Amino acid sequence: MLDIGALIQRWQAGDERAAEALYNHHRDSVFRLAHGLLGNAADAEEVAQDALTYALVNIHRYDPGRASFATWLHIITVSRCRDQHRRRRLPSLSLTAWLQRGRDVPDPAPWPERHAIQAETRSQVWEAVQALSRPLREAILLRYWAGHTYREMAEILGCPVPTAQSRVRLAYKRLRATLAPADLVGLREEEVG
Amino acid sequence: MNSHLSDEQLIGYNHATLTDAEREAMDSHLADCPGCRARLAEHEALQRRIHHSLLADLRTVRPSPDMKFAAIAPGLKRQSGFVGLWRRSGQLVPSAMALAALAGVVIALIGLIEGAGQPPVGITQAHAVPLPMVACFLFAIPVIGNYYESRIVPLRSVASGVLAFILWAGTAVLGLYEIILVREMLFRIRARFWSSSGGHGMDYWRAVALGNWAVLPLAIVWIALVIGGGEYHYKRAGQRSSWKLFGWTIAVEVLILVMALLV
Repeated sequence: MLDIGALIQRWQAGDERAAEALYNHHRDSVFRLAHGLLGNAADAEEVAQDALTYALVNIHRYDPGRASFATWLHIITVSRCRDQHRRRRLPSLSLTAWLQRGRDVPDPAPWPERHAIQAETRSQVWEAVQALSRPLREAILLRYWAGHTYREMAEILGCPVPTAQSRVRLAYKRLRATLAPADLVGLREEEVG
Repeated sequence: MNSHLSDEQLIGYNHATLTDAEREAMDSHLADCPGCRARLAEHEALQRRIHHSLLADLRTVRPSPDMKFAAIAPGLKRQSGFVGLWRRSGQLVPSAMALAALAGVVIALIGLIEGAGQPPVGITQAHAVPLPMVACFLFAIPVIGNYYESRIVPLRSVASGVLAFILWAGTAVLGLYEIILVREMLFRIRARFWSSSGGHGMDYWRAVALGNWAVLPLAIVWIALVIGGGEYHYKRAGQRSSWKLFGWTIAVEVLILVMALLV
């Protein structure tokens, strides 16, 4: 079992191996949360790398009495994902894309291909979660995937506990409305078969 | 509780968002009502499905091999020196930075009014540039601080947006002031180096005309930079790229101020 507290102390004392251990221990979790919130691997990787860098550089800001290290990382990750959403909302023109109009698009690298295959095999639940609004998607992922308490969620989302609770309930209701008809269709098909 | 439980109640029950009293009342109803128990079980099944699907979906995604500690390690070392000390010193309070920037705007405005009130009629410098220099210094404090500190958590983006707006307005005011300075510099250059009469008579008025004509293209450039810069900062308010552009803007403005002292 990794002693996160000891690693944090060692990194605060300047031991870079402790920083690497913290990074490796939380990398996948941070990346997956960002992926769930943003819906694509490229943005998620950028955000996750940024969040981990920020956390390690600002380790002196971490207060163990307020939240676990994993929760603190999720606070930073959610904040970064919101920034990313804000950037996406603003109208922008990509000069690179404009300059490359009409040119042959190079073959994608193996890694994006792999992500594309993964995307095809994702579940209906995933699609339904991605269709939720940002606040509801945050709530459902933090509760159902990360397993945070409502108090932790309120800390991460920067809202009161009752708001975190109502967002989870509302997100669940939306998912139920999306997923239930599909279930019924499946049952009817089974009956016909 | 004789009537059946509503979906709202069942969802609250399953999501542990009820008070103890509400939960106890529902427990007693559920003990006697198989219909509500069945509906509760349906909700539980859907909850399990959502939970397991999300776990399974996100278990399959992994970061690329490029996302490794080695990629950020140089950045960690770089930021643990002077910048680390700067951060820990607690000087980067947003309100203090906004105050510095606001003071810079006021000083730049005073400098602009003073500069505009003086005619460009001297072979030597008409006026010094201490106020705009002070304004540049005040703008540089939040820009340098935020360049390294902008990636912080909630609500900072709002403060950053306000700060970016103040800095945008301040650098625009400085830009106006510098149009006057460039006009004077052109006048002095023309009067000193291309004048047979030592900057008197017709040569004097030609030098004045050169300075005045230069104002038109300078004003067009200024408008383009203010609009273009404003759009850039609007899209990237609070991001490092925005602070970086502010840094370059201030550096260029300081350069023009220094040149005005030398020419």
